[in-house]
Amino acid sequence: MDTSQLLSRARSGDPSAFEALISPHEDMVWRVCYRILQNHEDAQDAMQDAMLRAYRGIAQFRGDASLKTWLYQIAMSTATDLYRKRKIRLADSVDALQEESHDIPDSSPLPEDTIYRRQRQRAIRDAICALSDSLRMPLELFALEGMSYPEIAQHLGLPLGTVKSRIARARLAVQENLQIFEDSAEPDRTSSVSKNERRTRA
Amino acid sequence: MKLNEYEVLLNLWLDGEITEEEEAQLLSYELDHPECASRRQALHTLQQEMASLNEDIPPMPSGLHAAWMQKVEEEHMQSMENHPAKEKRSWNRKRIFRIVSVAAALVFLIGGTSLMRDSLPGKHAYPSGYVLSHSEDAEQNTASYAGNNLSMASRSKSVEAGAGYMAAESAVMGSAPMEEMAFADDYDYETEDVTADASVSYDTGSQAVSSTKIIRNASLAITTTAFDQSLKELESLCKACGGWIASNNTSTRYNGLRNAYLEMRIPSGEYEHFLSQTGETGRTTSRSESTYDATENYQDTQARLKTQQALMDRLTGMMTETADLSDLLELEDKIAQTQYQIDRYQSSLNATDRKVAYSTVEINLTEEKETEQVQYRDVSFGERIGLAFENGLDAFAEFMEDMLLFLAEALPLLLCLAVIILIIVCVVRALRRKHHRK
Repeated sequence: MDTSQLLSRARSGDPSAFEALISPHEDMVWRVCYRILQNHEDAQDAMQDAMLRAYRGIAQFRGDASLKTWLYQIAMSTATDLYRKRKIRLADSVDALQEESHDIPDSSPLPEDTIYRRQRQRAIRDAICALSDSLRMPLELFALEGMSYPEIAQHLGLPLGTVKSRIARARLAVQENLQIFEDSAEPDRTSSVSKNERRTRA
Repeated sequence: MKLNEYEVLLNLWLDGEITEEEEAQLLSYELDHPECASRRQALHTLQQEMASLNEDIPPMPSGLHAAWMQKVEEEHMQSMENHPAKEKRSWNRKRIFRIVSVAAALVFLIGGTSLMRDSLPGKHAYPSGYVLSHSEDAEQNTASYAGNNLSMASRSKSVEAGAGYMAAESAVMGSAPMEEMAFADDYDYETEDVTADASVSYDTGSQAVSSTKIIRNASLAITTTAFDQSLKELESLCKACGGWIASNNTSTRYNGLRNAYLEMRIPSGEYEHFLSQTGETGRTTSRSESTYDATENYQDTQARLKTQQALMDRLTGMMTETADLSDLLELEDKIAQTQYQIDRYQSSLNATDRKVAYSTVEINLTEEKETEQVQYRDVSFGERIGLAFENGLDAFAEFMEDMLLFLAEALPLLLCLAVIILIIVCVVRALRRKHHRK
């Protein structure tokens, strides 16, 4: 059964057709939710909510953008909403890092470089989240999802030159946003400001 | 190189798409701008760090797929319970919309056809100026012709039936001998007080020739299926009675049937005989006769004539008795005037004599088609049903024809409306798509 048939059936509410359509992209949804929430349980909740929202909204999906991009936006907005609701702060405390991390086999204190690396990763995530939607989407699809420029252009329905331009501007904006982290380099630095305060407009 | 050109090369380098020549240009620019080199390295590091962001993301838990599918299934079950009502409402709306659309289309078609039927092109194409009747019944046309003006050819003379002496003296003469046709046209009709007395017939067999002056006229309308034969018979009858045809006009009506108007002068003695014989030539549909007693006027005119003649004698006598030139001239003038009056009175008497001697008979001969006798018979109920069904089919076929004609007439308007609606729909969809992308 081709995609259009699956889509047609999914629009009419068929769960199995919806599963066949969405399953190839569930890893992407998981990555988006976890990247934003940085928490196993919250990411699971966000993913389930995102899938439910996708199921409810599939009837209105017109096919203007690709299904992957559409699902990506739903995952992003769901995770962001959950993040705001639960007011999860991307704290730099060692305890918070230890609590979130599931890689640590034991409870011994983390090495400093690991802490620094994670803090920097969090800062990068914050800097990316601080971008406007028009810049963040292409950058995330390129840098985090590994899509090529033509793929991104096709998914977003934008010209290729526009995609390249936005990604270039997004890189510079993230770099500027990281300056604060570079300058302070402190665990309790205020890099985790809300997107509303340091949103870089396109 | 300018800064914006450098940034283009920088992004190509970050994407791994830079050529050797471009990289050389890039490095050359950085030699003069060391801060750009640091920035490039920082961006490269950032790019690598962004790529590594996914490394710390654990794989999706194995049970998560089942968990979100379960939620989807529950949602589906719940919607199935509510769905019939929603679907029914939606289905009802769609159904109502379809019914209303079909009803509107039917109203437009049937209503438009019914209202516009009279103006649709008919089955017969008429030339301009004609008002045709669909009836092919010769009898009906004949009956309606009598007394009206359906003939396509104009008459050379119109005579009011039963109006007595309103006939103009300038009638076209037929085949009468020339000596009898030497009529004077200067008769003054002012002295004649003609009153029409239609449909009164006199028995002229015993009228006194010198003392009474009876003028008789008749007007007949005859229809015949053998037009040429009837016309010949009338002409022969006229000649046989010693009369002549004063005027004869033949015309053909729009339905191909002919019509002849005959004005005949028949000797008074043969008047009754002639009228009785005309019934043999066809079917008389109307007949009117008029009789006028001109005796008193005739006698008055005679008396005036005598007076003028006596005056003439006296004037002529006075001419021989006087020698004065002026008197002679005056007498000459008086004699001329008196002679003029004498001639007038004499002419009037002669005209009356002629009319008394020859009656005027007008005949409208109309051709008719032979019609079959209609025979009525009882029709059974089954035959009535069959006839009613046939009539219904014919009416339905005619209505469908008219509907197609109406559609053909309305097609340009419908096409324009369709184009306008299409444009509106495309614009609305484009706006919705644009809004959805935002």
